Amino acid sequence: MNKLMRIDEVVGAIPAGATIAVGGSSLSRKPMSLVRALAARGRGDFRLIVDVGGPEVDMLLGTEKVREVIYAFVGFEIMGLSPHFRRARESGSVAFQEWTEFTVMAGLDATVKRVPFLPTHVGLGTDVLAVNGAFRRFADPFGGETLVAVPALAPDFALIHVNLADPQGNGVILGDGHVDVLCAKAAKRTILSAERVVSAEELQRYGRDVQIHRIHVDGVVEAQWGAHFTGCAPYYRADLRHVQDYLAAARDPSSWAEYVDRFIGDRHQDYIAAVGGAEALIGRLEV
Amino acid sequence: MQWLSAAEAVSEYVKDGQTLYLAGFTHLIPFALGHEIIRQRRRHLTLCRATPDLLYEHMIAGQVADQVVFSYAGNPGVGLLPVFRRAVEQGTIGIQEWTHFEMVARLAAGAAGLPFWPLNTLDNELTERRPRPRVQSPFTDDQVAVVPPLVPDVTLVHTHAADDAGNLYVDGLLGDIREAVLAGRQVVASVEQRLPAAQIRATRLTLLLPAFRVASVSVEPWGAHPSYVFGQYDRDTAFYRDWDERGRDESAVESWLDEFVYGLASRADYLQRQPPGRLSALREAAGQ
Repeated sequence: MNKLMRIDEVVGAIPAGATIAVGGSSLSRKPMSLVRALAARGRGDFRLIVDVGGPEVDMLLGTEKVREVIYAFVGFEIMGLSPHFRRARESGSVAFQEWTEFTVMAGLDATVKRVPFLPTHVGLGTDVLAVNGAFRRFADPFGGETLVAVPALAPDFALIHVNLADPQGNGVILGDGHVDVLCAKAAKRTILSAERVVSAEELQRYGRDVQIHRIHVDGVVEAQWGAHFTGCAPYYRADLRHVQDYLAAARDPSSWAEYVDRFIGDRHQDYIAAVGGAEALIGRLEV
Repeated sequence: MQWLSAAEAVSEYVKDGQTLYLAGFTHLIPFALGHEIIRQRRRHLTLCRATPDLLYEHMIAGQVADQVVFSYAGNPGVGLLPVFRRAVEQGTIGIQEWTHFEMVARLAAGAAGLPFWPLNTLDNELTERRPRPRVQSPFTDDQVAVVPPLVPDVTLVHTHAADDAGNLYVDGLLGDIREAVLAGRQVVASVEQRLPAAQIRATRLTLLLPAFRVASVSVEPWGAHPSYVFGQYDRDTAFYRDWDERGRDESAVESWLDEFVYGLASRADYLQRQPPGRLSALREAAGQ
């Protein structure tokens, strides 16, 4: 079955109000070509679910596409805080649910296992339970111990960037898979963007690195440098120079409009040209 | 983490009356460690395993167990387990039967230190005989079926390799292996090979368990024979096939145990007693 799609088709398939889980982790393997297209043309009013979020959350907040964010972390790691995220939290313009990395995983896993909640000790004794009303304390009916119930997180869509995919939707992730497999399994529909689309025969040679299986995947987009300006190990590192430009623009509303105009659209090739072209990226970022 | 011989590891960590989980799913069945338990004549064990096959035949015949906790029992591709069957029919062993997913869920609860694990599998003939408690969901009207945790005193596991620090590595089908090693209070491992970590990174092997969760590692080439180790040697199907007849005859089972377990000092002697050419044929069948 051929699941190849164009980026604009992905944008068209995602309705307003959709709950979208995004794979990757902070500055690593974010599906930025899809995120940029949603930031430019997406219907918006989205609920985002991220374990460790960064540029994708910031960009979709900055383009006013977001109604609510469920997250364990949002930021740019060593490069600093997330400007639009911070402003949105300060002004209360968007709803937020602060989870933890493990509870995001447990919430997705509950959906995978088709149970309404998973029990855990995580969160007990911390303020997570005070700031997040999504969790419930409950008494273990057998021993009486206090536990935390994590509700199921059920994304409508998962967007995941992989190193390689085949047209049937199998995806190779070389290195840390973060929580992408859980996102793919939990979401009703999963879209992969891939550095390169190869034949199923070639993909099979990657053995256990075929972390995403086709039964969980509905669409595949080929997008070389599709994680830029985040990194895609082991091919290229995060583009910290561009991260600095991005953060400077995101901190200031007038330069943000300029940034949006220059870089954010649904034509991935135009973006690559705008950041200097593939040749220049290879020279600066290839590992 | 200590490097011990299989005999030292069993002597040190496996005690009468314990609950053991012998991991391995179709391949990587820890026969070397299991035979050592028989040889050292442990008693009153509770043996847990998703898929008891011939290793539990040997251990039941060796009278090490009072109870077996399992979710499938059979001689794969051949038939039933004659020794296990006889013990159940004669009432000399207790059984506790679960589904595969319940076993994995029990291990998940054990590994997380939780009092139960919720699941959404349908009721079936097993749950008619052993009703599952239900827990009210704090979020919905659902009464969710739950299973109790399983925390083995010792999980015994055979893997492809360990590095010098004692990190354990595997390839191929994982089955319930990861859940079993995470749930065990102690993990006693045997491995085909000890390799430098740098060499392991150049292979397809992936990390199963970090060394800080491993009590001991024993280097036991062919430690999973007559089961197999994916990519290294194939299953000894002739042995599995022959067991169907041997297992039905108590004296034949006793004489096999005398020859291949009690009468041997170590696994090396066991390997020497294999029919000529058998082991090299199994390596070839695995593409080695």
